Amino acid sequence: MEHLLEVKNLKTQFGIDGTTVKAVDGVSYYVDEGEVVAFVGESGSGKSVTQYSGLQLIPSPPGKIAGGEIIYEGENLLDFGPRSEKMREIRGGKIGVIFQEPMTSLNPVMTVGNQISEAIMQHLNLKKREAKNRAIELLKTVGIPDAEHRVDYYPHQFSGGMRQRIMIAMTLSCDPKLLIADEATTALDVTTQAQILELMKDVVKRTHTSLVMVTHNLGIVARYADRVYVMYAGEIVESGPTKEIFNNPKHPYTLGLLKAVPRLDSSKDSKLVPIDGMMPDLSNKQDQCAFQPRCNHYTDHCLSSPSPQLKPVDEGQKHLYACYENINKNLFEEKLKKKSSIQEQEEESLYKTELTEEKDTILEVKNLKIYFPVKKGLMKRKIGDVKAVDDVSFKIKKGETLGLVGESGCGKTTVARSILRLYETIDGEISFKGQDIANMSKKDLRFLRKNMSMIFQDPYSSLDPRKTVESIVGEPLKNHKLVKTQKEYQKRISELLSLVGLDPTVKDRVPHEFSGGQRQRIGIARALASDPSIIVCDEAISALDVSIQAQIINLMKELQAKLGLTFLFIAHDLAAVRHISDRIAVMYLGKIVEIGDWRTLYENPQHPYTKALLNAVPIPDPLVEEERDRIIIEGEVPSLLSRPKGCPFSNRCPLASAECLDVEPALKSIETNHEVACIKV
Amino acid sequence: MTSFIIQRLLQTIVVLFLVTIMVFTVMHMVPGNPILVLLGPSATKEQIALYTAQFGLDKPVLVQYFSWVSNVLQGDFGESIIFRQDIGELIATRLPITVFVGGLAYIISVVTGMTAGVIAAVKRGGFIDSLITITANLGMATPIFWLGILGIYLFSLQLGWLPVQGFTWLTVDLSKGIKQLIMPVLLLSTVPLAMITRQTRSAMLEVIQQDYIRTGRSKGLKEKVIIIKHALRNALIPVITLLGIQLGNLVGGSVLVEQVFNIPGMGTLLVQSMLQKDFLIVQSCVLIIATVVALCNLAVDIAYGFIDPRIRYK
Amino acid sequence: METGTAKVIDKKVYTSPAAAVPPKRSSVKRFLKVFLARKVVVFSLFVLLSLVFVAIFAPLVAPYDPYYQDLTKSLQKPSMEHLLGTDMLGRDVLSRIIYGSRVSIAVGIVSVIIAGGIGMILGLIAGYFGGFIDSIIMRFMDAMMAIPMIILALFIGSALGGGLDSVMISLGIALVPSYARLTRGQVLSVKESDYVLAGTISGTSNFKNMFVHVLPNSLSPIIVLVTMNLGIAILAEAALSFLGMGINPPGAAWGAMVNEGYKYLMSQPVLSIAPGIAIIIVVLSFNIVGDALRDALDPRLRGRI
Repeated sequence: MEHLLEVKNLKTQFGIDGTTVKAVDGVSYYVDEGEVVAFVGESGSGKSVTQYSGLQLIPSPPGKIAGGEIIYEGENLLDFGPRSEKMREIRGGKIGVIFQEPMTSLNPVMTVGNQISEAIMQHLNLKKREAKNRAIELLKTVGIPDAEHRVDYYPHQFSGGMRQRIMIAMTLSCDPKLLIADEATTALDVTTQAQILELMKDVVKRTHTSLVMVTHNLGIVARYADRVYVMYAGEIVESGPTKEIFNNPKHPYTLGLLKAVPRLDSSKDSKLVPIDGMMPDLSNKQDQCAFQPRCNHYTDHCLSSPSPQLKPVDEGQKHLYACYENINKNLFEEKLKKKSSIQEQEEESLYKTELTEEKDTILEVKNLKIYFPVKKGLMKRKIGDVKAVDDVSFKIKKGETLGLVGESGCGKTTVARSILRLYETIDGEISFKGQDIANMSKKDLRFLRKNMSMIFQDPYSSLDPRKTVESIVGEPLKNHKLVKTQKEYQKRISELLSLVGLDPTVKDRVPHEFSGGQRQRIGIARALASDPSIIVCDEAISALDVSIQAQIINLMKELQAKLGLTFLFIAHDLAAVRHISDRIAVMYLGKIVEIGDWRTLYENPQHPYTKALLNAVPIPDPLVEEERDRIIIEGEVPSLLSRPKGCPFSNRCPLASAECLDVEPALKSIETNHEVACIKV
Repeated sequence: MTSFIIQRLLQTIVVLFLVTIMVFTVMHMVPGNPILVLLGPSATKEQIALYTAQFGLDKPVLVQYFSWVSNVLQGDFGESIIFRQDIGELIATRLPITVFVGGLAYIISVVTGMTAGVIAAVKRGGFIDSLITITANLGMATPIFWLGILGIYLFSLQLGWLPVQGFTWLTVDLSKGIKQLIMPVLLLSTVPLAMITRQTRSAMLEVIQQDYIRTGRSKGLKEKVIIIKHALRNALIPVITLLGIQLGNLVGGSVLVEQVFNIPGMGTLLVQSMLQKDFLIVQSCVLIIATVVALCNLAVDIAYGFIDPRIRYK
Repeated sequence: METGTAKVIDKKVYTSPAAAVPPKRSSVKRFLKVFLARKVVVFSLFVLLSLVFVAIFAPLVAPYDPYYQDLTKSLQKPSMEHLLGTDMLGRDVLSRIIYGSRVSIAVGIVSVIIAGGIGMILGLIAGYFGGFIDSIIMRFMDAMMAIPMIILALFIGSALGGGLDSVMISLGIALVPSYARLTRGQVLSVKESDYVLAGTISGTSNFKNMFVHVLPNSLSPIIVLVTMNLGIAILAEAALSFLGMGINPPGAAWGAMVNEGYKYLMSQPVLSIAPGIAIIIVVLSFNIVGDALRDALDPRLRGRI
């Protein structure tokens, strides 16, 4: 059978600072009609560049396609220039792309209607009027309410999820044969992500379009893809049917990725296995296995041989891998199973002691309210409040980790910042080691600053680019006069750096010399410097690649065990939160809707929002995914200004009744360690 | 949008109010008795007393300020000592000339500058780009009074194509007027033209890298459509915000150009009265110029609001 | 509860390549590589260095005393004796241009120091305190910017009474708003960055944060602006001198020389043309170096400075 699109030995290179970066290095793949194909890999693996190369959309210079063939409908597209008539016919007309950033991918000064119709007029030769009607139809198809009006809106008048729907409408406008979704849902909230993914799946099924998904999220791959290509350092290292890849990964990188991701359904104490090191520099790539430096399975043969070629697992099979070794995951799983049966018993007993154990409360938040005034007009008259945090109460016990999860705008970061007393006025009580933070005088803040620290989300922006590692890590030491002599100072810095797994000799380096993961370690060392009782982790792992994420999660857990740290762990990744937290609070529109210990909350969620949230997270296992029910809640998180009356979730809740619009439900205890704010429970 | 306009209008009023304070303060910084400076060393005691009383300089500073401002608001700028003429009338004959010459130069620099900038950006790295960029850099580094003298030497004295100096209203003598205008207008547009070209070029280059341009390409649009419909409008937004500053450059340049070509506009009036220490005219001229610039800035900001929907629908 | 495997991994975290020392990447080297990428930049730097050299050692470099008048030799054409001829008072034009570089350099440097000093302090105060103080300062800057730079300098200069000092001060003041605006903008954006917040959480006071984290990270565009403004100040000084509001005669200043030569344009055009070319070369060099500096320090500033 002829493939819809077939790419042979594609090579794309970028000339940067006089060196050649081989971003795509001899990649071959195909896409059949009506198929959903996924490309997975971490940042820098070349998965997106591969797709853009196919459409000749890479910026040139510095990029250039150095070789290969891209065969579509019997023609090699590389025979045509990037600006040729033929290529323009293909782009948009035959192959549509949905980009990652919904906020920047639409032209801000053109109405969305015009942006959709211009493609229609270009490819389908319709008149302006007809094109606009078609645009309205398309907007309806992708679920934009009130499309007749909204067609004349500008992009900034839509939310991120809505913009992504518009992008989909745009790509669908000319009945393409193939859709490419490049990390199309990465920037979106979990529930929105689920909606958009379902929408894409429905659309391609209905129109019999093929879909190429480029993603780093293995869960999405497991849930939606028919076939998978795993990319590493510009090469495809493994490919095959999704189930095959997940059940019997043959390449150490694939296996590594699968073991590094925290799963919603994995055993809690199964340690994440990080992939050590980082992606090699693609500018001086040798003809050798690119993964070898990070591989646990390499032999001398790997060191002396050229880069391994893709070969079938069994003769005639579709499952291909590029590795000289023959690793077997099934063996590994057996080991894991044996361990986990012992572990399960241990875990069970541990869990029970955890539940009953009485630990000291180190931090207690009572009726915390953070309102920001909304001002309007010339006189800056106050017209209302943004209730970022509305009556939130919780406790954190010494040595435990409280996970705070929720989608954007739920107020989790605001909670963190008020605990750190970064706002001038705070309504409510925050008692930390018996002291009231909310009403603490400026002078007493010193106590708070010494005993509480923070790990930031972005390892790039949270370290002062002009300071050395030593002065970054040493800042709290100096501020709180924790060291007396220069010698003691140096000793403590070295100690802190080794604690987070960095060589103390890097002291005099500046941040830009380190990779993302290493920078995050520096940030952790700084957070540990003043020996604080509580560390607030604000999305501390979300900016990191999967393999690095596992390194950092493990590091944090070890440090906690070693130093008896207490964490407030804020994140939107529910699987990671489950993995690291003892107790978890779910927030929605400034309120805690459910709080409980990790097991109760994940195994027996009660609040409809928690249920939907958990259901929206795909599990990186196609077999598990097959059996899961889908609950897709409708709508998006509303703006804090248009919070619904009564229960904040009432306008999206499948259980909502008239009563819910009246009563604002309070948290009530339904079992030990489990509170829910819903009148239907 | 309305509230945006009102807000900018109020801001302009505040700025103009502050300009009056500044102008007044600077004039009071003049060392010694301003009347002495005003009248020169040959003044008699009677003259000094008369003028001191006439300008109210014997009154407290605040009173002086408010009486000056209220007079100005009524269009009464006082009388010039040198020209023996009402300053308001003097300005009324001079201002239109400067506005006319400057306006022409402004239109030329905006239109040509944006066009050249777009062409340079589209042809990035090529010969045309280098030519435009080098010319723009030279234009920013060349003193326009020097360029004017060079022009007079070449086109007037050597080739005899254009008149040396002067200004004639087009309604009085069309061909003479046009001939006299060519060099001043072109010279006056040099600096703003060079800067607008550079800004447009870099704005275009930045916009071309944006995600929405890639989206346009992924839709299969023609490159021409992408440049004109998508890139240009986005690139113009930052350029327009800087047009106000260019206007300032242009007005500053008009002082020099009017001097070189002996055009009886605000610039020559300003320089003449400064050299002759007629400070009443100086402060009136500065105030008028600041008002014109501030109002043009207001107009630019409003235009900006119309181009950028993110401001229009706020 | 820790199993054997877990312990192995445990050890691995500490010995993992994260602990490896990253290859030393010098930011100075990268900066120089981008900064000096084009030959024209190297050449411009050379021009500027020679200019400083000539200005400092003017008495040694100049062939004649620039103030020595010899009316018998007035308005001589360029010759081997007087490479650029003589002016109406018989003074050697080349020597006067060489001495004129002293005025240009002095005016450029002093006025930029004044403008940068005052502007940065105002911008820092406005950005740091915000609110009412910010509004007051920035509206005053708007008011100053409503008066075109040259006119503002002329205005202040005429109030101060002319001469070199007056030119330096008036240009210095006229350039203040650009520094205040830029510094304020930088402070506002840097203030919001995570590393400043990290400083606060580490117990650094707001005031100290300003000088430890905010100011050092706000400097790059200001350095670029300083370079660009050196050229602008020299150009403006020439304009003021041309208008007769700058350096008093018989002082040698390029702008004044253009003006003096204007009267003899028909007979001796070189009198006006030569000092003009000196201005162009110097200003162009500053602009080219400024552009390169901007690209090397912070390319995002393209089109804004």
